[in-house]
Amino acid sequence: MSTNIGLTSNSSNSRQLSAPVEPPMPRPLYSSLHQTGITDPAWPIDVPDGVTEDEYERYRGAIDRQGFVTIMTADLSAASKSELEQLLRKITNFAYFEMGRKPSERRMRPLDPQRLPKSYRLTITIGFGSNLFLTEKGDDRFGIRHLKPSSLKRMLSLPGDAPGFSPADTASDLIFMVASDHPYVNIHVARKVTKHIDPRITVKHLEQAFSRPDLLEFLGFEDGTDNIRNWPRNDMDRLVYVTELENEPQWCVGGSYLVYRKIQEHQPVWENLSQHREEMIKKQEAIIGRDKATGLPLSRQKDPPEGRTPVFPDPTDPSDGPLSAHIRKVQPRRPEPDIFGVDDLDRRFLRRPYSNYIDGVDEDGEIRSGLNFIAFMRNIREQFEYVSTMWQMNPDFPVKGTGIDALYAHKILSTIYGGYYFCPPAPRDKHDFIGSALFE
Amino acid sequence: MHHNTVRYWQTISLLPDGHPDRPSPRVCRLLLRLFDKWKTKPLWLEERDTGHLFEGKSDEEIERLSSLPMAVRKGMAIARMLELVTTKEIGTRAGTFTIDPDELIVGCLPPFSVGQGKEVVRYSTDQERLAAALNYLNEWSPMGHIVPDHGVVLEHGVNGLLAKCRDLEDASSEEKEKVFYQSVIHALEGVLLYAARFAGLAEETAERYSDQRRDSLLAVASRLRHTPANPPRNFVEAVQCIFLMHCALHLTAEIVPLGRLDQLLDSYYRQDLKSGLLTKDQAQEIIDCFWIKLDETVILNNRHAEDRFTFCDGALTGMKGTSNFDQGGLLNQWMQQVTVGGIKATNEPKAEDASNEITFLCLEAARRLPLNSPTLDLRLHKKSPKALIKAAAQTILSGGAHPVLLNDDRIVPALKDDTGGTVELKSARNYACDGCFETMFAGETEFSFGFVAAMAALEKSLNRGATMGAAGPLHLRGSNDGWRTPPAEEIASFEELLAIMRKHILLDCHRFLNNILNDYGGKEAVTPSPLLSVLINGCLETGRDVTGGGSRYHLFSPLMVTISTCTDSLYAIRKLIFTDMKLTLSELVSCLRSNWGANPIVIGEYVAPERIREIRAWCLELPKFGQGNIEVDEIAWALISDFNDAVKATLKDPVHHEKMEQLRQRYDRPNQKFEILIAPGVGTFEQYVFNGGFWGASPDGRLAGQPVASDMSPAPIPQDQPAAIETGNGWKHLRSVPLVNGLRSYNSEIINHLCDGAPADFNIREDFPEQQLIEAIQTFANGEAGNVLTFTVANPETFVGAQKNPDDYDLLRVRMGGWTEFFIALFPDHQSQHMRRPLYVTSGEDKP
Repeated sequence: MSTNIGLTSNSSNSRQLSAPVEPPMPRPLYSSLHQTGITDPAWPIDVPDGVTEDEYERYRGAIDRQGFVTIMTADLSAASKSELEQLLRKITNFAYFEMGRKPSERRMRPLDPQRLPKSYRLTITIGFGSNLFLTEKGDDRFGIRHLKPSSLKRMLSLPGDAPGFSPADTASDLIFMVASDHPYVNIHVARKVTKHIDPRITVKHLEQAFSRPDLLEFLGFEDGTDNIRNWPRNDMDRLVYVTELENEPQWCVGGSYLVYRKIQEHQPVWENLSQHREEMIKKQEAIIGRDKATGLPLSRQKDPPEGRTPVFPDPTDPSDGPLSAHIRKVQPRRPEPDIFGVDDLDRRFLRRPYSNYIDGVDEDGEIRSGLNFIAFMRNIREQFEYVSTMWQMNPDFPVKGTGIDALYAHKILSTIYGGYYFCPPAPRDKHDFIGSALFE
Repeated sequence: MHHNTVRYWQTISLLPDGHPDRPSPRVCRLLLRLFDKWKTKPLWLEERDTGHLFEGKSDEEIERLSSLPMAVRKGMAIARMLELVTTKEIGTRAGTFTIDPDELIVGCLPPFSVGQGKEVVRYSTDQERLAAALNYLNEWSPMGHIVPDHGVVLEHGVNGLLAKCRDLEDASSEEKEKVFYQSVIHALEGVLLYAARFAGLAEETAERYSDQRRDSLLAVASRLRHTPANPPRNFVEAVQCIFLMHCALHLTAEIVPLGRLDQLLDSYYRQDLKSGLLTKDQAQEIIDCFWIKLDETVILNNRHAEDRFTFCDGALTGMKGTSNFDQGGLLNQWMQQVTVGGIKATNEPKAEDASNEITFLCLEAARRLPLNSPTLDLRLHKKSPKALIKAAAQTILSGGAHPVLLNDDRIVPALKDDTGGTVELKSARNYACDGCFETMFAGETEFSFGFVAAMAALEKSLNRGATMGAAGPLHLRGSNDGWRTPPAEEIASFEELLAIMRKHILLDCHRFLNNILNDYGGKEAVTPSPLLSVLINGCLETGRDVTGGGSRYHLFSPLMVTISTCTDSLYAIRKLIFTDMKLTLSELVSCLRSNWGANPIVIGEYVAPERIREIRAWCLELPKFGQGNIEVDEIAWALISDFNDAVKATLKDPVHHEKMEQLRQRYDRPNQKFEILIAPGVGTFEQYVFNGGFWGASPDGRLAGQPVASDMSPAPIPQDQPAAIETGNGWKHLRSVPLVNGLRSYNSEIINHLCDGAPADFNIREDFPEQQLIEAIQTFANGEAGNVLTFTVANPETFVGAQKNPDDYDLLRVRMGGWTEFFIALFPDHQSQHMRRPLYVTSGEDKP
């Protein structure tokens, strides 16, 4: 993309940078152990020429998500392990072909090239569901259950799941996460996956969502304000990818777990917390735990330099924001290790907030909208599930009677779809394919 | 008590550091991963993985192997199995060769269970297989149910045992003995390889880490390099040694329990504590880690079950026939009992309490870790420490349906003096439970059992020697199975009916013994047990396999089943027919043959449907066994007394003398006399659904084919009758009985005759007061309530909720009649039976 992210400015408070900076590109194909679309495109850690460290602080080592995502879940009707191998090879070849394409200039009119980016930054990330290894009914269709990643399973039911939503029903063999900077690119890929790669692929669910340039989602707060990144520590690499240390099947090293949850936001509830706008915003801020205008946490102390990270000297002290506030329930930042000997900060995971979706209107004429929660991690059990069950949805955390996350307690959010997946390591070269280690 | 894993963690995580419910961080990490394992299908060895000893061999080699004695081939097959499961390829695919970096105790148990079956390395020729099949035996026939003595390996180490075997082989002049020692040597060499492979894996895994996990794994490797090859030097090595041997046994088809763990480990613990090598907390962590290793192959979703059964799996001596039973009720039954407490195994006249710190560590592990295995059996006696009784109550209330409580004052004297043979006091005092609850001399005996059904005797007594389950157009009055005794209309009194029953019971006892005597020793030629034999006193000394008369004792148990259904039925007969004279016996027989009117095409006196309904209603309303009603309970006691008399008479009857003598001639050794010991008991185990399927409708109001009670428990409410109702004030069970009344039903000396164990499985509420449970356990320990007692802790609404939302109740556990099972893993008939068991409540709570 040729557009830069800022214009020259001398003011450190300005939203403009001192020099133009090219947005980051996805990793080159076959260049990494990891699939693309998980921790890339990401801003380089090194400060670009002409830009000050202060200006660039928020970007260093952080994800620069594409503008649009298409999520497809699919089942495979392969009749044998060798058919599965063929299918995965086809899928990989297709995905890598598409990701290698450049925007076409064939029908360009004279002024069009100005609008045509160098790349749509397409990434297609592929994940395997637990059903691929062992179906809900206990069938090991392909004889690979001994290779199942250890925390891959049917998604846990949680408080706040919408009535009628059963993770068993939405579990699937595969997930495709297609991200790019233009919806037509995603739709093109989706059509191919749906109809053209192989008839044995049945897409069972397709979801389209976009991200706002201002990073906000429909509730008016930034989703992923305090997301992990690879600077100043390598948190993103450390917390997102399976390593030799995880006691996983060897083939999983370099892969990443993906948690997908489609969450409906009940705007009428959110917007009617009070008759008075100021009071409503106060209530919204109390529910989230952040100031709506600035995104800064309500805690008395904040981590410098930007102050977007809260400091909770006492996790049970409501002076730093209501204990049931979203940010206090999902990241309490306690000073001591937990009962497993793990620091709270090591429970974090990467959110890739391509959040906003619209699903038409409901029977009351209200727009059905919400966010697609997409998160990557090295272990679902020890990260997402821990955060969800031990903190967020634990009615007695941090103290007895706190209640679950206020967003769910007030019925502002409800989960309506989703599943757990494992994104295998990337193919090594053009002859390799995603999941090839399952067949070695 | 925690209903589900999520709530468990939510609760535990908020407890302050040092709280007794909070395991160590290492244990928490292992437990967290364990819970995830339960949610997927355990990995299994495939038949192709294990194959045959001859596989891949040249014709000459096969010929050579075939010419080796069967026992030697079995020893080689054991070694082969232990080698195969620790290869990278098979071990990874089958989950038999893995280490978690947090583990203190390593080794991998297979998911072989009594319900799902097992895999073996085969070793027979086709001709041998055929010959064995004709006797309903094959390579899968070892049946477990025997308590090994792990103390043998702790004392000598495998190297020491190998040296001993080699010496004995050299010294022996008998070919059969030499063969036995060779088979043992092969098996033990397999164990050494197994341990060495795990040591290597620990070292290899350690290389991946640079933190404390590396040190821990290297320490694990170092321990395995030392033991079980050599006697363990400290507590953690002793636990590792026992677990590794346990794995080796289970992997080679010997699905056996662990024995008296507190007695095995106490000296190591005290020594380490004294030398400062160990703290109590560290010992608890080791025990917790050990507990977790014993529960890795749980199935919560019964769709994850495998069926690897062959037609001769787990063959019982004396039960010639195919192996078919309620496998579905046994999915997570790996026979892993740990027995603790009781009195010391001495010959001193004065009994001395044996409980020690390890007893408490085991109870603590069972209390705070929400597992189903190992099932903990706690032996109690009049002088058991109060603290032990309190710990037992707290463990029970944590919801694991254990410890199983056993009364030494009732069991030990009977095991010593009431089995028809000579038993050393020390051996009787050293009893431990087999894979369920059966009591046996730990590490000194072989064991098998058979059934004598009280309901069969009653049906045959009412029905001229035929059981009633098959009454109808095909079999008319039913299946002929016993003496042709007088028809119902000629039975003039209740006493006459009981006298007829005694004849039928006696015949069934004779059949039991006759089958044992005919079948004895048959397994030796098909499926000898060289590895298990090492751990059974007498085998190495006599040069004989445990399947060939090698053990010091030869214990067999006729188990009376359906006692409560029969008791309730006899009470109904006495009350309604011979006391109140509201109907005739032949009227009742017609009701029963017709399955309480459901099957009107039967022979005999016609009884109108309205009359049948009326009679059944009377029967259903009567008091039942297990409610402390002396008139009912005395019938049960008389029934047990008759059964015991029949067993004793059978042993003395000349009809068996010739076969007994033949066995003596075959197995007597100068230093070891051969005696068949008979320990009567009660035991449906988990087969109460299956067992009920044999019997017709019963006079207590139960319909034909419906489940009976587990073991000697009070009967469940019939399945077509409501068991609990929702009231404005929660759920009310429709058979609520004060616990003190329930215990009274078992307060009879006659129950002592059932020295193999006669468990009463009671359900209580989750908020049952701890103090009242302590008092109940004390009553039991004092000898005022039977010889085996268990408690399942669950409210009626909990069962209802678990059926509706299984995921919310993935820690709900119930007593199956021999072990603990997760309620949601059960098939519906079993779930229903548990919901229909009487609910034992605090005094006064049973009132509306």
